Amino acid sequence: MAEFLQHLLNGLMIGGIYALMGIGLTLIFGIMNVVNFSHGEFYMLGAFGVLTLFTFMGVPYVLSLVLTAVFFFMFGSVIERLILRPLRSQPVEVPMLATIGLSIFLANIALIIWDPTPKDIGMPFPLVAVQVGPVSLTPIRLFVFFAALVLIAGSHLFLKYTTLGTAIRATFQDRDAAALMGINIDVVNMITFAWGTAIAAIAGGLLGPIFQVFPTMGAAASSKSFAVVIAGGLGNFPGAILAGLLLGVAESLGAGYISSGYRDAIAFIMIIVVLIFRPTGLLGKSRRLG
Amino acid sequence: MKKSNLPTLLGVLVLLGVALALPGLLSNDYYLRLAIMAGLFILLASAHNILMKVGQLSLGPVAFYGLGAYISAILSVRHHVPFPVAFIAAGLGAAAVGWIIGRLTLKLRTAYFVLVTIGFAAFFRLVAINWTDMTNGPMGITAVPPPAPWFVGYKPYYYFILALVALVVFALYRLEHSTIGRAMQAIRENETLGRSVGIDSYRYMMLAAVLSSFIIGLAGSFYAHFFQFVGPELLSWDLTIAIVIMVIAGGRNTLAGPIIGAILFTVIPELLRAAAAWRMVIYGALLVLLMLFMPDGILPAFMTLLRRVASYLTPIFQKWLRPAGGELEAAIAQADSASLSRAEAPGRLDRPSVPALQAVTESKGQEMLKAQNGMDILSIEDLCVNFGGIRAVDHVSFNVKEGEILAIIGPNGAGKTTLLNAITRLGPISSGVVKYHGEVLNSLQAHDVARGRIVRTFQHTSVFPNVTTSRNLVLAHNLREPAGVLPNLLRTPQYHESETDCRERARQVLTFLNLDHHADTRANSLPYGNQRLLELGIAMMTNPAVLLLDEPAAGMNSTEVEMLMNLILQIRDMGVTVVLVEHDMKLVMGISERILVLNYGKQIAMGCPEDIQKNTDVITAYLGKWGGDVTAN
Repeated sequence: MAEFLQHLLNGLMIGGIYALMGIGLTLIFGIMNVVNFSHGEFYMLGAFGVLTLFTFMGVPYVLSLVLTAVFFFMFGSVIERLILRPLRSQPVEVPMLATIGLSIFLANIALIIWDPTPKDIGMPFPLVAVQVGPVSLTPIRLFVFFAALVLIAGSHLFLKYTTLGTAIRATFQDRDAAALMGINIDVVNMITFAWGTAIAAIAGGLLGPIFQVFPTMGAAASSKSFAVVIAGGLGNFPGAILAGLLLGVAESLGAGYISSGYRDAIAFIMIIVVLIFRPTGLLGKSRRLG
Repeated sequence: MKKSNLPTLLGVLVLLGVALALPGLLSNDYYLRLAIMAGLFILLASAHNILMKVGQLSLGPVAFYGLGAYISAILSVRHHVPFPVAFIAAGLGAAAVGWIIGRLTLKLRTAYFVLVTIGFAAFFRLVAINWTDMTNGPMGITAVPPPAPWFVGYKPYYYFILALVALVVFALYRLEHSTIGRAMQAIRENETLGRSVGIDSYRYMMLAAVLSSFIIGLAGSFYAHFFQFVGPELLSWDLTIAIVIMVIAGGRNTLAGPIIGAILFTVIPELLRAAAAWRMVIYGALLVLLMLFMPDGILPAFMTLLRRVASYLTPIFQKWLRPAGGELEAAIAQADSASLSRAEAPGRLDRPSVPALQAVTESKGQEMLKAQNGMDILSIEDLCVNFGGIRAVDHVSFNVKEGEILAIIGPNGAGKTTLLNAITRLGPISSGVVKYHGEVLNSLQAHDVARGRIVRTFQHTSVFPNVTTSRNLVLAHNLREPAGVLPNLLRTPQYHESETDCRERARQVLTFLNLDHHADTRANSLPYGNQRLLELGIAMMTNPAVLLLDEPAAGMNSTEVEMLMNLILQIRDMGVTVVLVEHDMKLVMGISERILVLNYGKQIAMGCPEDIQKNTDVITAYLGKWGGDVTAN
């Protein structure tokens, strides 16, 4: 039982990060109709950002996270402006391939700068485990989980209660109608992509101290984010949160009780099964034809 | 068309000659090996492009590549099966799996399809790594025997892959210029319209999936026997990206594009080897730049450039070649005045071409029709369509008599389009039946309905947007053509017959609609009224028995409406039964024999135009309670 709870909690912690990755990716798809394959590379670069600031330069951990987020917010804006905006009128595979090109570019730049050997960010918090009943929790894991929750809740509040958030939601409902109502679609797209990029970078910075950091870690992060987005329903915000937590728990339990070789297969099986049997996602309503 | 075939043929022969002589020309084995790799990638890219032709991007071609390679390797290493058998088995095995995955996934579109294919490829890779009993895991299967003992050095492999490429490319060329290629283009351009003219989009997508995975499976088998080793890295994401880049960079949906892309992107990474660590950085940047500046690919970009240069040079050459006022100018002047005189007289319809089209139409003559008039061709019985709690069509029953023009009118939201959707099976039926010649249509699919010669047009202009007017008509001819792979591949007499019929009919429909001068205009740059006429033409290409028109006059000016009325009457006179949903009362009252009025999904009146105009329920529905007074004034 204790073991099960431990797996469950570990799963929820990872799941929080998956959810964080997922909401960015899902909103980028919902609003810009872009399937962003460089999402995992933003995650990887975020981890390297924290490695550089916190480990190499001695900036406090939380401040490193904030600085990384600010930098990648700007980075995302530039990418949107230079690559995605010119391709907006193209069929969906064109911007998709451009982001694939970008992901290859970024991963290999990272390989040149930081070489392939995995690196440790080091522990920003004391390693004393807190015993809660039968399970033990390290402060870093607690911090990661709550940071993910705060960021998700913050994103939700932003979308719900600010003018810009309302504009984003309106664009999600109907891009043309929103444009006719005077919403600047260029700004909405740029903010969405920049925000998604920043939040993926923070996710990397959060998980960095728990696992090791290496330039090719983006690929796995990308595929898991896709699994989350698909299971939640493309463009579905609450769906992505639920699916992220579910995937985290499923992987943790699967690796604990079945086989760790197929651990990464769970995400892909999730993609296949959901798309075949419930293409609109776990929370999605079935679409009406005609 | 015939004229331009010779240079193409010569070009192909020269290329083939160079390809045959290549091993003699290449100084060392490194280049020959590169040529073999290029051949392998031509196969992969061309096969992958087949799915692009139906508008589906797969990011999982490596699943079939790996499958073919493993099947071939396991059969020949463990079971000592001779190469030809293993080779074919690899193709068939991959095709069978392609069929299964296609069945599961081809109802998905765009990003959904892309992502599910990634899922399958990744899953297959994980199986290849983890199912060690079968695949030997990450170690892979080694010592795969060569295809035959005399396969020594690179030369035999080179000629083998060359023959395979030539065969595959020739078959793909044949298919592209056939019913199958055209159906695929129609699906890619406008799937709903394609289905409404009888193209079974699911069948063509399945065909594309099976064909594509078959060829990729064969390529996988060749890989196994050439490298004599198969490992899980064959299923890598990088390889998928390489294949997709070749297709997209070369020019998707073209025949030569993937070939050019495959050659370029086999050579470029080799050249980039000098860049060492920067190689993949440059590769990624190249992909981004390619998407930004040549999103359609190198070949289409090159063709556009060529056309631009040609159009710039032609006048210069003409000045040299011909004296001023020569035949050409005369011909141009003549064409100009001809199109002018046509433009001067819009709406004149007494053209002599109509009998010609009529002759091709297989329906009975007008006399027979008159005798039969009164027989029910379509009967709608107690039809309901619900969307959630809303009943869009509410217990509607009526009959359509053979050879009549029946109009369906009603205020916005009355359920008219939903009714047409239900009849043509593009939309749902909740209860009730639709009968055609007494047979129930409910269980049919949209393309079956069209094959039964019930064809429709759409409320929102629906054409094949990126192809010419005449090509639009040719694409709509599908249901009158043999659809099998063999007749199209081997070009049987039946195939030639239907090609002739297609051209002939397209020409007649063009003349009938007075669109000859727009034959080579892209459909989406046609003037709006002409696009609506083209829709009518697309429907007429199928030789319908019942034509359902959904607001054909919407957005037309009054001259165009008059012309349209005339056209619809002529179509009826050819023996086609017309059902018309329309808001333009002049058109409705002017040509229809009976009118059905719907309001809030319910049938409120049915009768001849005179009765409907007097019907108080109808007046109330259109004008509100006090409407009667208004019309009285």
